[in-house]
Amino acid sequence: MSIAFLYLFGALAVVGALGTVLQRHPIHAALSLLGSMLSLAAVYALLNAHLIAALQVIIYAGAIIILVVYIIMLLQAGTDDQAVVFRKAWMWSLPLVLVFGVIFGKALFPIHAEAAVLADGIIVCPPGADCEADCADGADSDGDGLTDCNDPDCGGTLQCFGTVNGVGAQLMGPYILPFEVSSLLLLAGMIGALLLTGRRPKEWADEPAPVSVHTANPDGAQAGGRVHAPDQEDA
Amino acid sequence: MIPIEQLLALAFVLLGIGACGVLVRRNLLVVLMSIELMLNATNLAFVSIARALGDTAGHVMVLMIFVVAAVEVAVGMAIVVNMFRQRDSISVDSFGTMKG
Repeated sequence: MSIAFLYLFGALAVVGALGTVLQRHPIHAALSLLGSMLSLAAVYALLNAHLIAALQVIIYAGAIIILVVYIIMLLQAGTDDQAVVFRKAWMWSLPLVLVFGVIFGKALFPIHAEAAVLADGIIVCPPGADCEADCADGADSDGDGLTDCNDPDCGGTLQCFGTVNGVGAQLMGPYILPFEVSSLLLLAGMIGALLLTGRRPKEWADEPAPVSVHTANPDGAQAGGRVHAPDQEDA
Repeated sequence: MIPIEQLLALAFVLLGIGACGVLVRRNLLVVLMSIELMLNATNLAFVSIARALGDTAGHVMVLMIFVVAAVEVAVGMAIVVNMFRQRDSISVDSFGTMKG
């Protein structure tokens, strides 16, 4: 049953991706991308990646697509005049993609084989199955600092697989350094976006009115600045 | 019983479609969206292999990719807005000033 849903949402993701590339209007492309993201979130949920599925909906569908749609509306980006399917660029880009796809596919094949062997050995506690009831929750029953579903003493160590509990234990344990560095990356991105879109001091200096006020009347610079601030906004 | 090969094939197909979008499309916004699509394909590969190996580390990598994607979109959109202010266009053909 879940395999059927896997195929369904996988096909929907491909359809959304094709729509993203082939739709002429950017808004249609963004909405196709949204459909693709939501289908992929369903695929993640079917693969027991519950936290990733929720974050996919929140971050991609909620934040990134909204930002893209907002920018499209802000810039009033128009429709491409030429249909995408008939472009000459396909003549060289499609073989390029196919060649690189084959190369990467060949490179990944050992991973395919190993993963396929291990795929049957996965123990993720299905709901209502024979997993121990007191081991499936987030409490710490033997008091050794590990929540039960992460605790090897408690039997199935994979019962937390993909939940907030399991991923959080990894994130706060062995991967604490990448986690902190990612916060640094977010800070850098925020500062970069603000610097790129914000009004710059150089542009202020280019406009004569505030400069003349400041030079002619240094004592009343604050008052002059305040008076001229509305003009600045209008310009 | 996870169809791991088929999931990785799906990830490959999504990556290829995204790469075609990057190469073929002229609209800078659609190019950025195609890059998002390629990042999503990578996420799918990470999640499916993590599921197959029973290792949560793949999910941590996906979280890192989420962070990178969010930062990339924020900075990329800022650059797009700046380019639009300069040229009144977001077609990649109108930005050839760095051509040698």
